[in-house]
Amino acid sequence: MWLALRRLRWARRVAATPLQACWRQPLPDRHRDWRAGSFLVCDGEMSSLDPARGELLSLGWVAIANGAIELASARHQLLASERGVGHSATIHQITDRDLADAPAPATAMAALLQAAAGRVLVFHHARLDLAYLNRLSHRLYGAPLLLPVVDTLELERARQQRRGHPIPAAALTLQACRARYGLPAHGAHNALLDALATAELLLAQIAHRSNRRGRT
Amino acid sequence: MELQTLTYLVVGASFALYIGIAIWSRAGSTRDFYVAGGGVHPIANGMATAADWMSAASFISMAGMIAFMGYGGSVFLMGWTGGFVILALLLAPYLRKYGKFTVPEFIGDRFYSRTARVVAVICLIICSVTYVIGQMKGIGVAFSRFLEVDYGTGLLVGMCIVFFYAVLGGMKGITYTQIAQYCVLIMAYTIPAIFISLQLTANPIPQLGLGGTLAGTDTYLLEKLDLIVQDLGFHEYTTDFRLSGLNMFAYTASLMIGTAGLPHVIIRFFTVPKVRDARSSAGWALLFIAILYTTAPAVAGMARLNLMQTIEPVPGEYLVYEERPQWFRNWEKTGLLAFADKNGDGRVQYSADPDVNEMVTVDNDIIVLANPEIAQLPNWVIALVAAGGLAAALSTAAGLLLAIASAISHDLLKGMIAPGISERAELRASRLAMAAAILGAGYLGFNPPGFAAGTVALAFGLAASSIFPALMMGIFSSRVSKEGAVAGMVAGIGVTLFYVFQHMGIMFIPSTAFLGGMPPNWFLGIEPNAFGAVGALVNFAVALAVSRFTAAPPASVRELVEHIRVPAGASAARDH
Amino acid sequence: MADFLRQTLPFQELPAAALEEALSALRISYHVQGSILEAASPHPGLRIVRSGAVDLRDRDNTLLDRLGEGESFVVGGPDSSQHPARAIVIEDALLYLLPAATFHRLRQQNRAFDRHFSSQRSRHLRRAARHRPPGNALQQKLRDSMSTALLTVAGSDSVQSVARAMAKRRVSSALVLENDRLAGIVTDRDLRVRCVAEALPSSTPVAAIMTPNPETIDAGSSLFDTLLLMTRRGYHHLPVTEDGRLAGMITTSDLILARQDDPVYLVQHISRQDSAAGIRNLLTGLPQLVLQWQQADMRAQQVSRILTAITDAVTVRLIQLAEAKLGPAPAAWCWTAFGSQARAEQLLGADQDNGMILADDAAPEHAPWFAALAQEVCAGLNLCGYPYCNGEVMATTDSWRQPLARWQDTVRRWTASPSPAAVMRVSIFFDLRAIYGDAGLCTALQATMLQQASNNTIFLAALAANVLDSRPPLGIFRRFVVERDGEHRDAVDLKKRGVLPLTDIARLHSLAHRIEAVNTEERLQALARERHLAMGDSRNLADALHCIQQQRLQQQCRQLLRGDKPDNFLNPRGLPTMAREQLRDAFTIIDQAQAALRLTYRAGLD
Repeated sequence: MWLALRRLRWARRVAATPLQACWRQPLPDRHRDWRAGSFLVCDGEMSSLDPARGELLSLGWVAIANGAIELASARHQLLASERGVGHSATIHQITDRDLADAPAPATAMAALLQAAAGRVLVFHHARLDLAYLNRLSHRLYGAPLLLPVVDTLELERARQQRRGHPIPAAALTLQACRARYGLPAHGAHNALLDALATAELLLAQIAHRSNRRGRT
Repeated sequence: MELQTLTYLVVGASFALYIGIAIWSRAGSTRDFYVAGGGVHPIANGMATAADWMSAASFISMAGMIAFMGYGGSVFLMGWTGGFVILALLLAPYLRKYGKFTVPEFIGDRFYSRTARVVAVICLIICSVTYVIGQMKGIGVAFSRFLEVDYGTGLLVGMCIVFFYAVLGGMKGITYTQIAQYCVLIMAYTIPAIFISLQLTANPIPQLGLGGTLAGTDTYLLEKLDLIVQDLGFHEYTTDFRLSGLNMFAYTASLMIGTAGLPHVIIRFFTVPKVRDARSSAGWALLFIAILYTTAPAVAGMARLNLMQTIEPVPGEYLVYEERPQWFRNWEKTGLLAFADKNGDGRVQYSADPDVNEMVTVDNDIIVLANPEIAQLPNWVIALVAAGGLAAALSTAAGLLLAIASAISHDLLKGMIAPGISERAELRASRLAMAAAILGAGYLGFNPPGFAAGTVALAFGLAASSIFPALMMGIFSSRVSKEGAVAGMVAGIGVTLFYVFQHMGIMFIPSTAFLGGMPPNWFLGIEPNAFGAVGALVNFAVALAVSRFTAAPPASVRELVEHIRVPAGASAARDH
Repeated sequence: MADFLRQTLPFQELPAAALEEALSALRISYHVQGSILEAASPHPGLRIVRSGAVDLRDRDNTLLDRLGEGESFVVGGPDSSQHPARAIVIEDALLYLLPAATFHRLRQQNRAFDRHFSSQRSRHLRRAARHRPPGNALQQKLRDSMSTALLTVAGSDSVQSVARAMAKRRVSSALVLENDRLAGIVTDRDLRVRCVAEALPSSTPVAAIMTPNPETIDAGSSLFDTLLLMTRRGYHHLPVTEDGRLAGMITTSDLILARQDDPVYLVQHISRQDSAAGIRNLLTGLPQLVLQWQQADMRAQQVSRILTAITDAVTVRLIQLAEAKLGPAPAAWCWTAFGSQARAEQLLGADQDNGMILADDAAPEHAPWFAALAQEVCAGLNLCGYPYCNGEVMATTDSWRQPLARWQDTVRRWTASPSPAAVMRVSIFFDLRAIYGDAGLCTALQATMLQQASNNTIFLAALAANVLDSRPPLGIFRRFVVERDGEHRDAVDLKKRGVLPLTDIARLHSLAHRIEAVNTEERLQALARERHLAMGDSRNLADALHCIQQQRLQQQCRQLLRGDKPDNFLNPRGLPTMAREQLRDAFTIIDQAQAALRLTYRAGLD
């Protein structure tokens, strides 16, 4: 509801952009069973942890429909960089050469928005990814994304808090969250693989939530 | 490094050591450990017993008493040493053979009566709480000095720490923790003594130094001390009787026989599996205790001499108040040392005459703690003494509090009042009882009836008048009946408490004392602290008299009593 | 992405193009413990276990296989005897699904890929065979169950001589042979109905009362067919032929006994063996049985009762065999079980704790007989899978094989000076139960123990100190305290840190209050009944025991399935949340009981 109102404000600016096409799709119904809901799990690699200084280098996403991850929907997009990857290459292994013939950010963004239409976006630690995406969206379309978002990190934090467990920061990394559900370790720092890992985590979180509701 | 920082460090390190040992020995399961090692060596056990035995009274107060009372202060030395021997020889072997872990269990079983058991429990709780008051006083003194706050605040801090220490289980029951405690304690006591002895007499052994000559002169140390104190109008140090010969005798006897009834000490004899080991560890314990007890008179004498010479460096020339040393200022903050310039000359006059004396407060308990400072020893020695004093006070206080809590929650609550109570409720009750005991003891520590050793002496007096006679008669007479035992205990502790309260105030609140603390009102000139011996006589008399007029104990009990007096070895020989 | 999946999933054999096809078809789903995938469920296809574990079961709910990471399965399919009918998620699982259509197409196109799955399937089958219980008992051949020691008589023998022979051999039937040919059968019932009731003289030839030309059955028939024939015709005895020759006899009780998986019959079977090796063979299937019981949701304490009953039966049989070899006992005696066997709380992998109590009139010259018997029985137990006790708590040790009076002396000595070693022994020794022989000796010894212990609170205090030594594995804030290093890193020893402290607590209270029961649960009940423990405390402790034993049993079963040797270590992280919390609660209860114990028996002093 709130999202729809906020979109109104920006509606004129985004006319005839991929963002508008994306917004045309109806918002997912909150009250429906999650099993039927569909998600687009995203992850991005950046050249810096500070959105003001860094750039988005790559995006990976994979869709969840009917309670299962559909690998067919998996995409990995590199984004052309203006300032180079700098020292961050050691983390995500993306080099300037890789980015040399990458498409412009607008292309990647358009693809993402197309995939995201009618879906709930999912991130692990959404704040960081969204900061980058919103900046990019502002630059391209003059408006923030304004898409429904789920953050697996926040889900996990809420769950731990409900149980009264103290939550050290290290316990909320993607790896640690996955370990808690018995999901296998994944070592890669690659946007798509991270997105896939996040998607698996989301499935586990949802399964455990609905499972508990089922029991009581 | 600054003294206070260093003190924190040393105290912290010593506690880290105890806790570390506790955790280490818990983690390495003793089950496995025992199979491999086969028990604790008697020497180790002797050290542990000695650590249990030596309380704040022994560590902090005894030397202070001797320092200010001279020879008269030695009643504690004689009483406690004698008491340990009585306990080790006269009581422990028989109680052990009887197979009862605690004193109330023995009394309840021997006098075939729940009433007797309950009376014993109540007597023990009274004695223990009184004993804890003494420990709290010691803790309060130590903390007020090391935190540089007044005594009341120090006591409050101490109460909190004691509570947590006791809730953690007091780190007791783990022999190695107690061995560590003993080591810290004895080092803290002897190292300053050795230094001071070297300074004064050039003899490194304080016991010999006390009897030796002052360094570089032909004057004997005690001669010099006698000279100085007499100059100031005090009694001669070496012959200062405590009030009267009879009083001294009663006091010593009361301390001696009171020792037996205190729960935390006697149990030590039962935690050793074999009788033979128990005997040899008692012997070692006596040796380890003796190290401290024989050092005490030396510490006392030398400290007194040092104190006098600080205040009056040259005969007739007193210390200028504004030039007083740092330790003087520090102790003034605690309120345990106070100066009032009565004649306005800015100099500190110290005299036996209350009108002239300007050292209006000199608490006996500060002697051991201040001793290294007075003697200008290095800071680490001073810090070590702090660690030792706290070790002594905390371990004894925690042990007693645990015993009190268990007596109230298990023996009284579960045993008498609410037998069907759940374990959770019982545990909660024991925590509450512990907190209440600490609060009670803390309150009485604010209104102390005397310095630490004095309060402790009272505890021994109460134990002497109630528990000891019941134990003795239980072991050595098959004729004493349950009615006799109960009447005896009630009469003994009643008479003693009455005497103490009438002179020192009900619950030691001075304003309620209806006869006042004045020596002229004392019965046969015996001071309240020493009255336990009289109470014990009353107990014996009443018990024997009542037993004469009541039915004899059942045959099974009489047989048992005959049986336990046969030494263990003999009975084993007969069985085969 | 492709590389990653290639490493992770069994797709190494696929060429790049096919891999791409497989990848884009993959669906990943997450299933919580307890979910069931059936043939009818949507999205059929190959499922690859990325993490977690899955049980495959056939239509009869028999466990076929248990799959872990990297293994794959297909539920349902054309041939249900080879394909599992259901998959049950036993540990939260992440499953990668390759839809059936793609899977089949890929298999058709790629031989290597196809081979991978064929071989995997045959491996499943092999494993399934290993996991399958020793078959549906009734499908076994008659040959293995019939008795071959036949009593044969001639038709001319008198009824009395036949009856005497039957009585001597303790059989209920005899076969009448004429010229080596089976002419008839005589049973107890024939003797009763056709002879005694008719008042025929005992000299009557047996041919007159036999059932002539009885029906026979071939030894190759299944037990099921046999049972069918016998029930249809109302036979209790049926001669068995092999190649037309008389080979044996089957009776209804033989048929019942053939159902080896039933513990009652296992116990009976044990009592029929005449060598330790025979018993050992019977027991080889024991872990498998335990697995079955656990999967049939049998509670841990029932399992341990049955296991103990089996141990008892083995012991008794070994003693009987030894007695048969050594001759009758020269004096009254009693074989006593200690520790977990006495408490009826054994699980798998228990070692032997036993001893002998001899009557006081056993003379020194009788000693060799008892020593030899102990040797024989303990060796037999060792052979049967009950290893020798590390602590030498065995009848073969002289100090555990003594006359009653000496035992009582030992008890007195231990209570008088409870050295650590004595206290250790006591915790095994004070749980005792007569297994064989004069139970009165055992009762007398127990009475001495209870009397000595309950009177001596110094001894009880020493026992309490020992109990307090093994703390439940909970640290500050109720965190699990796990082993720091070594083989069992990050695991908790459920036996040492859970079961033992708890049984110690129950034992201590029982000794203090002279409770004769030995089983921990019975002890707790008796303590509550006699008001030494609050009812709630008693129940809590019993629940805690059940919870820990249950986890222990499940862990042992998991280890069996993995092919490991069962032990008592469990990593609490591997447990589902609910079970972990329950375990934590159980340990908390033990902790509290220990605190109360300290208050009660050690005057709160340490």
